[in-house]
Amino acid sequence: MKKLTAACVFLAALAPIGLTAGDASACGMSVRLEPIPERPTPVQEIANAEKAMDSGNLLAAASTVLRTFPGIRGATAGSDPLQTRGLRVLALAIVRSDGKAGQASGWTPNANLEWAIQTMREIDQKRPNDPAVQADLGEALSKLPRTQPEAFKLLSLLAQKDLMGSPFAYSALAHLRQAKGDTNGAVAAVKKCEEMTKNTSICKVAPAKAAPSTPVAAVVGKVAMVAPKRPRVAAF
Amino acid sequence: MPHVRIVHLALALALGLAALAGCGPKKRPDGTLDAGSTGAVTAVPTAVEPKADAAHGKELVAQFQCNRCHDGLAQIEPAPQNKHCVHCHRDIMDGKFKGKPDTIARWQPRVKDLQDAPSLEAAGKRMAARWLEDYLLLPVDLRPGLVQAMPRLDISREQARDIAAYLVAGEVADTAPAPRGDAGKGRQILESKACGTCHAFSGVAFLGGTAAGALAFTIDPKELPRAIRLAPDLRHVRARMSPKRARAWLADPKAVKPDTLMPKVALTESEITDVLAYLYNATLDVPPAKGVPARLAVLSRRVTFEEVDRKVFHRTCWHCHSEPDYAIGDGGPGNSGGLGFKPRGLNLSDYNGIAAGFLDGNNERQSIFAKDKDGVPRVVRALMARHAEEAGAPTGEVRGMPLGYPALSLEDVQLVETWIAQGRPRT
Repeated sequence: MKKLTAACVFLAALAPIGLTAGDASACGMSVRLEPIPERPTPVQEIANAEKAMDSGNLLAAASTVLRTFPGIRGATAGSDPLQTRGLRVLALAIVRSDGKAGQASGWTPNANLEWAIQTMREIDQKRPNDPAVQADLGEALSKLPRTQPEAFKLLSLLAQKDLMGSPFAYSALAHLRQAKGDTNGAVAAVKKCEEMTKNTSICKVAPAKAAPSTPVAAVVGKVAMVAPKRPRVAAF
Repeated sequence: MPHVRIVHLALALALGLAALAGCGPKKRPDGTLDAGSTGAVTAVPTAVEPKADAAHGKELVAQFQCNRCHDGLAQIEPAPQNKHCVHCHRDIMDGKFKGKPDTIARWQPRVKDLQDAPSLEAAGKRMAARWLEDYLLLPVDLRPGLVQAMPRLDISREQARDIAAYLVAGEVADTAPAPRGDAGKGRQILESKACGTCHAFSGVAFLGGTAAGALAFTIDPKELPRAIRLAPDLRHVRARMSPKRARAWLADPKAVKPDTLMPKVALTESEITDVLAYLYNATLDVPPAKGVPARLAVLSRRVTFEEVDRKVFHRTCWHCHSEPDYAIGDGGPGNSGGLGFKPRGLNLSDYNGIAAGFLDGNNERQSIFAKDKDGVPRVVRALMARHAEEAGAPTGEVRGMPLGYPALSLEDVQLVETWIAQGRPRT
């Protein structure tokens, strides 16, 4: 009997888990369960992740995606629209955190960035000729020295055709132009970036290491100072 | 250089003859503009018109997806529910659409305008092919009670002719002269029967209407608002249907078109003749020239994307120009194609999408902010083209937007233009 009572108490204690509001019978007694808040749907979760990313909360964005789709790292872009949105958010969160967000166990930030670039490439292949995706891809490519020439080409073309609506992509272009010594171009990209975001700190570009013949003052005078956590940009 | 003078003289003579021949917009007898003279069409009828191809017309009706709005098409089923604009909107209005009540309540004011479109049942027993052909090329405001209008499709005269041939299959040429009844009595009958309750008759003095309860005929009061929305302007009767068909229609509308809301009005043969005499012979005032309004100067105050999105893009544009991965459906005809338009890939649902532009005729991406030779951004040009369409003026290649809906107010266009001029600030 004691065993039965103990089992009932144990079950009663577990009862609220997984149950919704209403009367429940436990060991012959009725208990009123408190309503359990409805879990957000996957659509709401991904929308929340997108909002988190837009507000700069990259870790939250990545973890929301991973919680909603635990196996997303192995997912194929384009097979499911919602999952593809999740892939985009995770990839961009990784890119904007320099490989730190959504880091899988044992992965280095660079390996994480490689995954993000690969993912953005897949999304781009599934949605060809979409400048919004291309801007995200360009931003991702700008993170690694070996892919920076490709990023420069892609982002320059989008900017030239006035088809870019991402401040992060303009910021990436500003960095790339600066690294090539194109200060005026960097200033123009920074200006576009600043028009597109409240958080203008994402637009700031560190002055390029001036070549001996380049007057440093001219560079510093035109480009706002410093985003300390920007990754290195190779002068390709 | 005498030969140069001769060339110039010949050119001047040719231009003069062209002017005398009536190049430039022409008015039809009913006061509407002739589509063939507006530049809105790609082909002009020649003296010897090719024979219309009704079978091709049927294919075109499918291609232009007429069944997304119109029911009653011969041998063509209505579009499935998720593609049928009118059925979907009507379901939302009637509370039949599955969704959260607050969502439905939010949608209802936005979708109410497109809950009705005329059925094309028995079009062949009612309409004249020539009128239909012209109407498809340059739709006029046929049903003043409807907020939306027939959209201006990307259609050639040959295509319009073939569609008309399909829709009015079996039309027998009816060249009977205008009825010779007593037009004055006809007018009196229209007034006494309260036809003006539903019908406008632009170009003549107001017919007058009456409260539903005092109508001289029976109509379900629940159906009356719909009947008013769908009732055509009687100005167009003389071009739209032959006197013989109009007589049959007045005698018993449901015998001609079983799904019509037009009631059977008790009329003798003689009264019908008098009514027809008025409908076909009354002198119509030329509609007042609307004129294309000028754009307002850009504002000096700051305009952000949030304001433009709330007042224009999100309120008006995005339902047809959205992003399939982020919305229910296929992104709309303005993105993934439809209503005879090729996919334009234009997503006006968010800042990035708007910046990403559209696919041009060569499948190349172009910015909607690119300026034309007059310095007008493409998107502003499209919004103003709708004003031009409403005024019956030529609009060139740019189609008026929003398609088939009233033009945006000049203040809203000003808002968009100001935002663009200020560098499209997001915040």
